[in-house]
Amino acid sequence: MAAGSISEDEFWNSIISFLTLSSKIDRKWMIIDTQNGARYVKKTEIIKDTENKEHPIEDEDSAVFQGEESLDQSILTWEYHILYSQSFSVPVLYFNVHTQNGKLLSLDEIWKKVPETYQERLSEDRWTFISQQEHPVLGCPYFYLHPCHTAELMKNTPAVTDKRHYIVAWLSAVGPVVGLNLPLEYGKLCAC
Amino acid sequence: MSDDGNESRDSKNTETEEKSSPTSPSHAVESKIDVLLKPAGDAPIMKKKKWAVDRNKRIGWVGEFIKKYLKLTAQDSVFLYVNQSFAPTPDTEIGSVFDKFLQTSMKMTKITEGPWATSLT
Repeated sequence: MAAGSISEDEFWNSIISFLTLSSKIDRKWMIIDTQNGARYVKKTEIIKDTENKEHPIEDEDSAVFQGEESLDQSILTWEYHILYSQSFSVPVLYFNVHTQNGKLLSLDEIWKKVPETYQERLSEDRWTFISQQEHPVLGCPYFYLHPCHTAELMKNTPAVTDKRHYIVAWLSAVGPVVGLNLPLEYGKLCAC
Repeated sequence: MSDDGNESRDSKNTETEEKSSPTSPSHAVESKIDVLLKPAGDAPIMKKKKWAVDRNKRIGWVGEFIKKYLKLTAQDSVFLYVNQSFAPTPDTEIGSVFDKFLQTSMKMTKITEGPWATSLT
């Protein structure tokens, strides 16, 4: 197995460690089981859209139950899924963003939300880096961070020696590109 | 340098430890934090390992600083990890990291190629 990659068993072991942390920190991640036996890991976040997406809405009821005539188009729902890539033997991050009336954001609109930090360098690679494909479990279009370089990124990170921390190491490094920021507590409780 | 034939790839891991050194009680909010960098893996050794960093400086700033110090190119990128396995977001303040982890061990990874070779500012 290439350096920086993990087996599917190691992936799920690391997911369990990750979900244990989540249950203590923000309780936002969960495993979704489907009828055909497939499973993936999911988080949903509702954000008031500002320039830099800094205001998560904690009280979901107030965001959802607005009158139809006052649907706030600036409130976005970000959905993140973690799956295992058999081809690359690494985790993959799938995501979609939709407005309150259910409209999915386009790749261009998603691109505008990538922090400036990453935009400059990724501008040439954007179509290969964030692209859209059929979700392996759900079968509908989702955006994803292409996994082809994940092993390269991970082979030099400390977590490779303890595979239980792989998911935290990977997600904390790549998540911010698409607005997924893990709180510091994940690092503190992920004790070595 | 690496076995996979991609000789231009390089990686760098550096550890930092943090100790708080307030200059005086009245300036406590501007206290600097001592950051100690240690190499790991293929990382080049930094000649000066210990740096005093304002606690309000962000992780992204530290990464950029390291890039400049090591004369890395715009194509290279730096990832900073604490506690062996967690990368704080680039906009996290160093002071927050110290407050959370107290004695912090930070590792830095540099990626030279591919889409992850990007500037952290």
